[in-house]
Amino acid sequence: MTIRLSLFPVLIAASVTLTACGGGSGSGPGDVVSPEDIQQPQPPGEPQVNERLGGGEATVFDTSTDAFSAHSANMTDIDRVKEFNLGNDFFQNPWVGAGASTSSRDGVGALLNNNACQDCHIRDGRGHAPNVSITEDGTDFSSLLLKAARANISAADRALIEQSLLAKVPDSSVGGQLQHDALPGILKEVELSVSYTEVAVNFADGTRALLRKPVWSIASNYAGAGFDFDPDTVFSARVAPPVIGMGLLALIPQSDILAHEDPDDANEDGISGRANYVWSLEEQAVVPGRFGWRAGQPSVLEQSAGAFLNDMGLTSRLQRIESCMPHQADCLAAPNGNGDSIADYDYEVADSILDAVVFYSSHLGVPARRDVDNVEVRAGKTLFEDAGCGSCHVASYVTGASAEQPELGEQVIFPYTDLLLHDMGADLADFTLDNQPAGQSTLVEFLATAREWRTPPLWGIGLAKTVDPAATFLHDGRARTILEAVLWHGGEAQQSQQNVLNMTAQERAQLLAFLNDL
Amino acid sequence: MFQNIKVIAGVLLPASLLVVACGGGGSNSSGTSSRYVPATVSEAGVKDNYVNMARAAYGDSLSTALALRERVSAFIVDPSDENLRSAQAAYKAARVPYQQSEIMRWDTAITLSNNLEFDGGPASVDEWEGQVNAWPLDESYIDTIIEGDAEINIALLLSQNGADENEANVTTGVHAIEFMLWGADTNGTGPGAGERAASDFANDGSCPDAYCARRALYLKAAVDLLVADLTVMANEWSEEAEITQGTLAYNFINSPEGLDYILGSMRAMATDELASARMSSGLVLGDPEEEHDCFSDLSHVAIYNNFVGVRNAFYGTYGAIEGESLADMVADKDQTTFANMAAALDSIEDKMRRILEAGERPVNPVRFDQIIGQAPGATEREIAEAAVDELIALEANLHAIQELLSLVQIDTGGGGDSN
Repeated sequence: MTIRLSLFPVLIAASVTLTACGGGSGSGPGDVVSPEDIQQPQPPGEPQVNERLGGGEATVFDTSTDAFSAHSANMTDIDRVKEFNLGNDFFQNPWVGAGASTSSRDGVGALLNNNACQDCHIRDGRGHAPNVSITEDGTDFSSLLLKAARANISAADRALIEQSLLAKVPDSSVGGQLQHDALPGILKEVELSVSYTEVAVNFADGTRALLRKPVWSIASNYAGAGFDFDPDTVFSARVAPPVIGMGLLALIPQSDILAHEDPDDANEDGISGRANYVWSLEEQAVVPGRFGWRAGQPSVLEQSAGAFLNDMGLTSRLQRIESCMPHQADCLAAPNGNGDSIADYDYEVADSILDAVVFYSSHLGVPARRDVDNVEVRAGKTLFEDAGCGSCHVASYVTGASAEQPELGEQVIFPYTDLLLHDMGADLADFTLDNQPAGQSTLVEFLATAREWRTPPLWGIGLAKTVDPAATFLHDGRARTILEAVLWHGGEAQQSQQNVLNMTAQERAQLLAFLNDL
Repeated sequence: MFQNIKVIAGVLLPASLLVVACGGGGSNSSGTSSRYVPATVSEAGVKDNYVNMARAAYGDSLSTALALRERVSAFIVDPSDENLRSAQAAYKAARVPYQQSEIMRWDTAITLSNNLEFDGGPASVDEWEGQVNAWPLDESYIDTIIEGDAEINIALLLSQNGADENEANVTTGVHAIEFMLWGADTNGTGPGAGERAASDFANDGSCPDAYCARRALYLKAAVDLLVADLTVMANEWSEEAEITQGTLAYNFINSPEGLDYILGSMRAMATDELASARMSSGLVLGDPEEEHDCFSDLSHVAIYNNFVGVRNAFYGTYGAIEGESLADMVADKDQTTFANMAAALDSIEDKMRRILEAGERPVNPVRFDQIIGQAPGATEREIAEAAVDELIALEANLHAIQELLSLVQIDTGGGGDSN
């Protein structure tokens, strides 16, 4: 590994000195750059380690509601900034129905969950579960969607899934994902709502926390036509995850991820992380999964192409077939938005746009930590490790070298994830139509069972509510706060959750001070 | 000077400032870029002047919209080719002040959670803007409404705007009016805009289909709503509004982040909105429909005046208005930072003006959608690409100013034509 010239400290050094020379202008409250960030020279061959810079030299320094929207801070090449901006345009702005004159951005639907990436990944951050009022169930599914998989499948299908040649067997009414929206004149697949039941959790010191458990109400609009959900279908609720740091996660060496695997819990710590293995459309091979709530996607490219298709009804070079079921005649007959005003191609998202959106997603920067040396924050970090959280939320990696992504390669990063699957218990499991946990052995997305979830990265989590006050936590958004998310941890994380329950109020505050600083 | 800035982007510029600043001179190689600093320049003075600018910009936006309404009314009564061209000319004139006012839009950070909508007015410029200038617009949705049977009035347009939770179902605002006046541009990257026939509005029995009367109703409703919306916004910045709680002017005057907002708006418009969605996306993709004024082919007017808005925000100028400004504050503290910013703005201005002039050429004009279609190396394309690069590189100047004035980088999200 070689140490490359860090452009970012140069900029900091200059501006810091400017302040000193310019006389008088101190740092504003939002200006988080400080002289401490200027790294001391390190011995050759040693990476620069600064826990404050969670994304290494790509770390960004915005703490406003835009905190998740800046490109890698060390991106200085103007053509790359333009590529990022192009991606931003198509990530932020809505796509339109086929036939509009804006032909580069048409073809959304006919079935869809949303028509702009940003409308789910709110300001590039996470979405939220529907809120409820005293009298009304939640119906705001703007940034949460449901997926569907059959539980009772043939031995042949199960064999294909176990070989990672098939993701799942989709529901025969609506397919693998419930598109709850549609273009005018097209029947929406489902009607959805949610209510919550209260669940009390007691800390050892007698403090009580009230959690909310979702109760999903799901109805197929094809039931009347004889295509209701299959009785064995299990559903999975997924909030749009934040998009920051994706390119850095992509560059974590595979061996460093697999090194944390312990499928049979050989070390008897109760934690048995394992990689998901998935079929790569790009490589036409079985490869480890890395992205998505169940590590069901191997790359930012495939994740993006999958979201274009399933969430927005937009085909691309990787996903060329609209997601219409055979009995959805209106969806099948709807015009497509293939090609644009200057080129013909038989899908809707031009290659240049798909690539720009992937570039954009890969380069959304990870915000710097704000208060890494604070005594309470440091105490919280120790408690986090002592409680065993770090067994899955693995703190740090060094990304591999990358000629294509020079800003992201060879960086010391702090994502707090192992990117592996873990059994999180029945409470968080995928569920049946009547809201019962799916069977433990049900495979729902390649090798992932209904109870298994990929450890999500924690970087930026402390700014989630700054970016969007409505943000909620966990895969289905049931947790309104970070503490609620911690308290829902079950399965392999049960012992860690118990350790948190045994913390004093002060210790809990310290733990949260740490998590909120990420 | 500026070429160097462009090449070295955000990295070395502060360092080069540093040399001069520490050298103690504050001297400028160019006399023209040295700025006279008023005896006093204060935050309150800059903000006060900014309100005056906003008042004038929205006032002009409203008066040009009223002129548009007059011409449209005349066209609807007598749908002649001449009256159509007259209405189109009024549309073009209305784009000038409005696009300059658009710099006001990135106000989410100073308005969010202030409940400004509780008095019935808009919560923010950003929130209000979606009904006035939204893009992209799916014109087929407007045709669907016209070919439908619901009574066409302002209420219908409002109810259908963003219908089906689809922001591209834009039924209101300037681009809807633009579509009504021009129709779709079927010329690709070749010369020529939309070719709406005046007979599409015929009221003498020569209508080519069954929808002329409904088109007229639609156009009238869209223009009436635009006038109403601009009236609301002009009132938000009136002299009375300045001293009335709950208005945007009062909120701005009393916001501790007023200067941060001005600088953040310049950043959002220059380095993001103009440099990406409004110019670069089309240039990179080669798709002529990526120009935002794609029916009228008047994007050159729109983007030029967007840039004028950036200049205005810095210099504290709008039309005849001139007063205390960010530029004064910068020059007061460091003439070199000022000179660098002035040079950068001048260089971009030069390029944006050449794009404007290419589009306005009386014979064989080159409009922005033609530039999009030009091969690499073509004259106008080179200018446009250089403008984009310099707009992005303006970040270094904005960052230097932010540091110099101890400003805070505020949220400029929320923006985007659609939301």
